[in-house]
Amino acid sequence: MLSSSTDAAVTTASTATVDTEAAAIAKAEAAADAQATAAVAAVNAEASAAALAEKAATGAASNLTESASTSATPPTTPIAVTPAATPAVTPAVTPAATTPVLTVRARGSLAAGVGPQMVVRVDGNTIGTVDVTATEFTSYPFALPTLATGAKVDIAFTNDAVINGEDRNLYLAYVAHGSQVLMPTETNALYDRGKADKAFDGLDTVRGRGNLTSNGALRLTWPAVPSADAQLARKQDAVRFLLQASFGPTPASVNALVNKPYGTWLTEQMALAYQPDYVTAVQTQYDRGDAYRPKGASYAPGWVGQTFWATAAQAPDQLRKRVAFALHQIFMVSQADSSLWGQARAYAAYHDLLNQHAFGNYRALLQDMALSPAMGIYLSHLRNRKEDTATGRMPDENFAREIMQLFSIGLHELNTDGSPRLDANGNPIETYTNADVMALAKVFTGWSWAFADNELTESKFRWGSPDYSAAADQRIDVLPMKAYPGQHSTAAKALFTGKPWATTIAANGTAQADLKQALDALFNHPNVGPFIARQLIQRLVTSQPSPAYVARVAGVFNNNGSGVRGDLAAVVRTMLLDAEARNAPPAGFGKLREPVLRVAHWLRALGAQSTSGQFQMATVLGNVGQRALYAPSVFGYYRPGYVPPNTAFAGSKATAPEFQIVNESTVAAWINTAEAMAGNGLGWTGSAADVVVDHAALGALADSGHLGALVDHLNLLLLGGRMSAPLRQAILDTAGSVSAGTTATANRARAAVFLTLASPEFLTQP
Amino acid sequence: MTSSRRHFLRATAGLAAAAAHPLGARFSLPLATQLAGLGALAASQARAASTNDGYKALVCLHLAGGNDSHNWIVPTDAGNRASYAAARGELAWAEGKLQGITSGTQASGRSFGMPLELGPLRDWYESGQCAVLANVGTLERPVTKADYKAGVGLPAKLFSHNDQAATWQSLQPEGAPSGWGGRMGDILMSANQHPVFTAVSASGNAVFLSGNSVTQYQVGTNGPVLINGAQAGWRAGSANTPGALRSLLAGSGSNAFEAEYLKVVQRSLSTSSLLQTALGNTALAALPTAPITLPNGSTLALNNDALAKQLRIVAQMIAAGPGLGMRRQVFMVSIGGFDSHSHQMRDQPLLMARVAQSVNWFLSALQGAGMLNNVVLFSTSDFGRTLASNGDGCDHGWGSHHFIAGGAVKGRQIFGTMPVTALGTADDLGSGRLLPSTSVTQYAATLGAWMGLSAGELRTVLPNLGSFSSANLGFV
Repeated sequence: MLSSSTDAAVTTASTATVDTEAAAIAKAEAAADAQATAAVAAVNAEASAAALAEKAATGAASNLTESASTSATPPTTPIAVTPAATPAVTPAVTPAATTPVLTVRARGSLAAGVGPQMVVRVDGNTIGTVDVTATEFTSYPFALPTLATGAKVDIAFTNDAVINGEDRNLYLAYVAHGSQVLMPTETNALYDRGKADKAFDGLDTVRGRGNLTSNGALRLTWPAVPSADAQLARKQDAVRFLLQASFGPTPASVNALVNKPYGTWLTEQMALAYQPDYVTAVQTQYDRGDAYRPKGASYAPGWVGQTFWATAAQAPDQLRKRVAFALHQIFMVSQADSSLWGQARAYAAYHDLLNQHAFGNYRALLQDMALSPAMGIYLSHLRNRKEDTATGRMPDENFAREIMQLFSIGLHELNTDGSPRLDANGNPIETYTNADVMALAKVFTGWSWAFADNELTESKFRWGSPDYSAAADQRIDVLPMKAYPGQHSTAAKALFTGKPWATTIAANGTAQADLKQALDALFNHPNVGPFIARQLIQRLVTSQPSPAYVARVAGVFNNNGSGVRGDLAAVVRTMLLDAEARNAPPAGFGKLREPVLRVAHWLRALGAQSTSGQFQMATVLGNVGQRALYAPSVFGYYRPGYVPPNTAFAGSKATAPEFQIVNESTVAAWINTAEAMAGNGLGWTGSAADVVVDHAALGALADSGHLGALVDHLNLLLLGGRMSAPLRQAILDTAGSVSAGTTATANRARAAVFLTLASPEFLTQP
Repeated sequence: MTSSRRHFLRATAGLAAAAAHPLGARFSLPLATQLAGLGALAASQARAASTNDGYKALVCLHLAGGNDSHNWIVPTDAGNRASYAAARGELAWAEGKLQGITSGTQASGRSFGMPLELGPLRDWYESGQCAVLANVGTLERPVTKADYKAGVGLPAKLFSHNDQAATWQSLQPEGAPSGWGGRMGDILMSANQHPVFTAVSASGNAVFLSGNSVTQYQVGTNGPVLINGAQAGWRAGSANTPGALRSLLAGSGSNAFEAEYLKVVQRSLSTSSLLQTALGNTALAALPTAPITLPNGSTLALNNDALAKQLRIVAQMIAAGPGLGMRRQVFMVSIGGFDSHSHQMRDQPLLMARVAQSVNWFLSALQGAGMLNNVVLFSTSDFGRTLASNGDGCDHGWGSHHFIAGGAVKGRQIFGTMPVTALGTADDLGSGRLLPSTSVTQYAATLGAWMGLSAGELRTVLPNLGSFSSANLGFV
């Protein structure tokens, strides 16, 4: 009997049909033909091939000629039509309960106002009959006493007709029971054609299909119930952890965490030795000869971006890579700067530096960052000249300002929990004045390329540039900048005058000594802990961390428990093991994921492979607002304090940085990118997409007898178990109704992956 | 309940929530306090604006990074020429690079020129459809050098890129919830048949266009971006996909992140086809593919230029505006690269040429479409720069010179007061950082008045307007 949750009409008697066998077969041909036409129109060669293959198979089985197949009137397309009264949608997969329910997901096309009649039998016994009046896929549940392994399930279409040009057909997406979801195209499914008893006689059969366009029955043999995954909850939690602590889960990394404490995983990850992946990759290109070096015809600064994607996808030291990407967004050097175009190796060295210090000490990172030639070029303190009081020339203030505003202390004095300290009038207190910027600018004078010590002349300081030709290359672009004698400002430099942490750098110090004193002053400023901690939490865990969470992480920055300040390994560990990161997320926790993380996650979860081996996808996501390593300015891809106006966030001033790049254009471009990811892939080798998922292998999960297995796989790896009921339903309907054929397996996976990547839950991190 | 009343309640509720939040005190300056509630006032006065005089659009051209306008409007009289050269050192343009401009409004004996790269802009200036506004900057109220030294009455976070760019656009540093372009839109949107297109950016998210009711609309340089997978057909392996995708995107999400994202998706879906059709009905010429030879012999192809492409889509939207039932629109375009700490003399000529050539194409296209009198384009930047050189560039300053162009502009004039181009003057706060003599607020008020805002509405959009003696600078 039909469950009471739907108003679909139920009858128990078979109604008369007005069709002939020949007409039915012609109709089937026309349907296949129409599919082929639709496929061509959609410029989808594989879909076209699938439809044509199906057509060929059907034609062979029915011994009809090609000419017979092209003369029929195309059937109406019912997809866009909304039924007058849509039955209430029941959950696609009803949890195994005391009363077994078999759910048939079906829609019909109506003739003379009457929909297809669907008769459901189990082991030859009719368990229900229904008139399918819905023209969009709808769940038709049938209660039944039992459904044993090996049971024969028949879904019969009994009233085929064409009336006044209206073609009555029955379309099936899937048949579900408990966690089991069977497609009409299961390998052992048959479409037993004929009306009445002929639908069950085992004669005139073709392989199973969802489009029942003539009287007959879809005949399924019910498979054994797969054993439930007893570790599913733990795996789902592991996925959440890996979204925070890596570029995304892989099946292997999820399984590895089932019996491993997260703290142990962090320890193991931190123990993986730093590798200079970026410089190694660029050097490999440079080693191919002068054509592959700056000024060469085959030189490509995009090698750095390729290395980013390759390592995000495949590097074993995922935690390091993920933390380094977060550091990149704080200590921003963007390759969008044209001055860095010819400096691929220097830029690569900068990313290696971020990786090297990811679990090191912030003070060392600060210094290596300050002396990096890439940073020196980007914020123009490489070749920064001392002041000249005679001409009025003054030092370049660029790096001096941004190292304070962006890389260390920020604009306002902060409490340890990240909240602003307020003055007597209740106003925030600015951390520095323009006088501090001018003083610090003098500190960063006299530094330039690391030529040999006996070459550090004023001429070399002002005009010397590295020669990157193979014959002359000294690799000084991977070395810290050097101080040039006589080029450093010898004036006294007073910092933070009037503040408790004021310090004066005495006149006539060396460039090195001045640098040390200035960086020590910045490093020891009480703002650094909360300023850096809050941003790291935003990058890895949640957009609007609680003040208490910030305070706990900042406290560890201030003192790792052994009296050490700036221990980034301790900061990372504390941040990721904190109760707020590990407990079930309350409302408002988590983040909108930036586009780079979405693509990296896809790469890893679905095992995308680069056909060239080079991950030639350095330019992807530009139209989604986040081309990797190409932030528009030193202010990054978006601002950590961004509160999207006119949203739920605005009222509480909750920060949601990633929303700064969300707009009508980028959201559309993301879905178009997702379609490419689920299609031919991303990147470009010069003749084809470079980075591709094996959708046939993925789709084979469904071929094994359970469409649900494919959906469950994506739900775990792409969503950590957060798949909404509407998304699951959309995937089952779409993947389940994919026509049989040589590419059906891949197409099922494509549809499922596309809808998942485009879904709102994939965009977020809990 | 009237729409205005609803807006008022919603905005005041937001204000109360902000005050209760621990971070609410962050911007508790007097101006900020006034700004917080003004969306409500803007909405409540929505009927006062005069919008029955046909179509009008403002186009903000933001020169990102802080433009060194000392080198855009350059003194050519002997005395100031010498002080300019002395102050700028290696950053001074040679006299031969400059073309004189009409400048009768300035002090007797003073004369000015523009670099050759700005030639096309100079032509519009001399033909009376472009004006210059001298030494304008972010000000809460008029301030003196003594005020500056005492730290009294100053805008927050002077010389900081993001904060000063935000202050130019909103009168508040970074974190401002709305900009004055968006706030004008709050008042003007009811005049538009499609309010969603009231405030349009072709260059990404900018606080300038955020309103208290208005949400900025982002258009790509090739027009709206269609979601391919939602179009009927065979998508990702199935003909069922587009319908399934549309149903997913029609949801409301299970948390605030999803919900707010889906709102943008739904706005994208509901507008892209409409706008694409409207743009297709315009007959605006494509950008020229033939390279333009620049004064230094290099070439510029506008069809590959990011700014020109933004201005073309804006011109298309303007051309389509009346047909869409639009009466008032505010647009934003931007071009980066102006933070000239280094390589200034290498990079500035191309930047000037890109601006002048792109704006020239834009104004010409509008003229061809018969809409030049309906549009005012104006420049903004983060701040001006120091007169003093660092040897290869210059640093963050305050006041700077800007230009305003369009058929309604009273061109061939320099408005405001050109400072003496020397170090150590009354306007020099050190290193040639200029104390602005005209405020962004006045600049904005003049533009707002042209858009039809009443005096009361202008005070709503620009709460500190009363601090300045003149609310209309007269350039349009």
